[in-house]
Amino acid sequence: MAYAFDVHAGDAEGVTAWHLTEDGARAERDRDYRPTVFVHASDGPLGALADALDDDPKVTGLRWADRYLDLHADERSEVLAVDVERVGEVSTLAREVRVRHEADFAPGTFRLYDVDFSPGFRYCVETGTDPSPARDLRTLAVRTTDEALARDDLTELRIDGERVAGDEAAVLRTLATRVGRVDPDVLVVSHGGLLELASERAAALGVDLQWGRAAGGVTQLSAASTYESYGRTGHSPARYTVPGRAVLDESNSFLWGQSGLAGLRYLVERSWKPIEEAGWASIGNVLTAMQTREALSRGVLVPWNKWEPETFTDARTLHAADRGGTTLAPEVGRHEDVYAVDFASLYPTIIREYNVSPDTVLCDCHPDREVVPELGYNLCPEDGFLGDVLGPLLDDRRDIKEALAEGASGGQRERLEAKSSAIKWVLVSCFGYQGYRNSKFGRIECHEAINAFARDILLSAKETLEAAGWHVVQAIVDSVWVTPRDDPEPIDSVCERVTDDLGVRLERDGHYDWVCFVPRQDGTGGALTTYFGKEASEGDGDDGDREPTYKLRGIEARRRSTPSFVADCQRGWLDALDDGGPEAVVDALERDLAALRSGRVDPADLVVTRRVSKPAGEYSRETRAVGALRRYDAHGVDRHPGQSVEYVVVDDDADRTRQRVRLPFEDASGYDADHYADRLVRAAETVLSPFGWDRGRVERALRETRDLSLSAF
Amino acid sequence: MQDALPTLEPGEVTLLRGGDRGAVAALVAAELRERDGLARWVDARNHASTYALTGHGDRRRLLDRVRVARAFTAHQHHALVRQLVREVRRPTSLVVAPAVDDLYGDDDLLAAEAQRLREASLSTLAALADARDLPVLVTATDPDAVSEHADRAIDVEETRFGRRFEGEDGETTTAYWTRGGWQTTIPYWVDLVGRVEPEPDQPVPHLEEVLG
Repeated sequence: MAYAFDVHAGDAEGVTAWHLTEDGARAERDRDYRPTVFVHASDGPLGALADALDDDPKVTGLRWADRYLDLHADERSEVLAVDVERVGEVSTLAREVRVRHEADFAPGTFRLYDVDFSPGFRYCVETGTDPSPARDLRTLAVRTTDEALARDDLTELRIDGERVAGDEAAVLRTLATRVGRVDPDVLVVSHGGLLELASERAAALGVDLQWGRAAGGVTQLSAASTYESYGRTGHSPARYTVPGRAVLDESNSFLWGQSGLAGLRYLVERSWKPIEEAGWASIGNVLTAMQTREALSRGVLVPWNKWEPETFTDARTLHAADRGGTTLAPEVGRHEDVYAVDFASLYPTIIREYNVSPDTVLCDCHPDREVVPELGYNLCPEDGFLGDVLGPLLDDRRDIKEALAEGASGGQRERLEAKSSAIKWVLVSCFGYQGYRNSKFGRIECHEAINAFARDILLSAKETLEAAGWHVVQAIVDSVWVTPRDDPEPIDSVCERVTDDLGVRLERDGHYDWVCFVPRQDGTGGALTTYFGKEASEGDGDDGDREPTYKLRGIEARRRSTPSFVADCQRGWLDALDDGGPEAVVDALERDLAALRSGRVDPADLVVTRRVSKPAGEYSRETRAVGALRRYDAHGVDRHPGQSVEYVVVDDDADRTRQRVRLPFEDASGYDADHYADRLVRAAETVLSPFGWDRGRVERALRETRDLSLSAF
Repeated sequence: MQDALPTLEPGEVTLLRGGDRGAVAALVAAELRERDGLARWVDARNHASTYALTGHGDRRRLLDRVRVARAFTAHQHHALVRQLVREVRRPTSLVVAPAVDDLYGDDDLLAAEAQRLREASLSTLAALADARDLPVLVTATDPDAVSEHADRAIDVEETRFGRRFEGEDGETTTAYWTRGGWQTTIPYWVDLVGRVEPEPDQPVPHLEEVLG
């Protein structure tokens, strides 16, 4: 089975598929391969298009085919299948059809299908090639740093973790030798740009460096770009590939970072995205690939653009439907003996168990089967598309959980955990993706129906728990937190009952000696998912000496931006709180403040991390992040919107913004103690806020402790 | 006081400029009170978030008379506008399309295609108003570009008294709309009984005070 695919550009046609052999890989050139796109229109225009495309040199074949135009179509329609000379010309052809050939017709006359597949994936699904690697993959990891790359500096690299330094030519020669000797199937690089830089420098210095398994050098597949997703700015670096190997760019792979090679391999098996494409894919891309495979297997075409709108509904239904999951804001304060129970994979399970899918919601064939709670949407009982896509993932996840519970160990355990994490990411994303506007098979009514079931299920669980003698302190979408009220039925037995009744597994997720819910900033009730609690030591006796463990959500210590010093202090205060209540926290804070003011804290522990959303010039305020951006710029290090900046605050009151901060790799011998003291007090306020303390009270308490300690002298 | 709100003309596309999402809801509410039939609402960017509608007036009755379909892509928006042609064969009092041009500005669209789709949608709406003698109300992200497809424009301004609508002919409509519903229009009463100048930083006098 082939695992890597070179899609030829320029004059060369076809695809070279690389098959893993025992000691390397063998190339097989497929010169006959032609990608196919499909077009649908009414007879007249489609005939005219066929005539026009007949003269197009990019087009090698035109055929008539029968396909389903969407998931809920009852019959196949006749469509024009257009075979294209080269993979790289598919998008050009699609654009020409849309803009040039459609010019004499109403917009939307030609509907195009199977257009925007990634090239390797397209080859696999069109030729029935399973890209799952046939044996373990050999990797070679080559890493540099942002700063070195910015300076085009190749005097130091890490090759498989080992530091290689010296003059540039020597380093490149070592690199070339290692690539040749290891002959990796997967090249892991810290930055895609490193491939290009090393090639260029090697050529200039006369070093024979060949990244790929065949001549052809490094190809840039796409340029760097900045994008908006879910209201956040992201940055994707340029993408590169080399012949005969898969490139994994660590700076551009969410899934590699989350689930490693084992997780990626699993997603390759399920999605048929070759490993290189799975590496840079978002979860949405992977999910789309899985859906595309399922759709094609059903004879359904994949639309290029989303034309299908929702139906006109009265605003009242919209009002009922346009709601998310149920939340019951937590009761602020400290609660004793708290159990958290949650529904395992709630949304995907609803999709499968209740058969909610774009093709089943509001089907034409079963108008009377109005089973969606609140909304009264009807649902088709026939096997839904989404359930078929997610079913294997749910089953695999369950099997992995069982294998882990049965005590899989060592490398086996690691692989299972990586797989499980990859599955988890797809499962948690699949529901939101139904509502995402550009998702190929997303349908808003399906998204709403899943939500309606979820609300109904959570409320049923809440009622059952209350009837069984439990008091609900908070409920969020798929989890409920309870404390015993009066002689409650054991929690596990209630969970079992709910599981049987609702068809979704409710399980115990945590047990806490106490949990503190933090109030919202504006003081109106409890903040969702902002709490900390001490985990109960389960089992019988004897572990009284065990280190207590705490669960934290949403508070400073959990935020990426918080310096590690502040995070460590805050975690430490939880012990103090457990032992001596709020006053003990104030004592600990006092000591931490003293350490800070004495200048003893290592600046490395005071690094603040911030994601930037725009270039330095576009910020209207002179923030610390702007100062950091200017400093990166002065070093020639690119920081794009969507990437993070790191800095230590050295003089927050400085007149010039860039003087307020230093970058971690600059010399930051001092720090602004006042600035960090303020952060520390704020973090303490969070810990004490469940007890009704505000900042004023924290400061008063600090003054009192200080007076007390003075009076001791 | 509803008479004081600008009315929409059947057969014309009215472009509402300025104001927030509530301004559209206010005009739709007023229009529905005056006319029979349903409002057909082609939504973009979640303008129909029913909160905007429910904040006003007789909410139950209103919600029953607004039929909404939301577009999330330019292609869906265009498909919905085309679908309107069939929808309005049934009793319809007005057509509403907030942010009518917005989805066509998405950067994942081919520029030439976006332009074609946008023009086609706007001329379909104009033709629909004309052929069915219906009022069509639109708002736009780029009002200047959309105005050539509109027969007239109404400007709305958020003031401390509420919302102030002004027609294209320069005639100010002394209609104000506040969160609580149809609070009587203060300028109307000011015209009637004379102006009470509030002290700076003083709360605006209640109607009862103005009336004495």
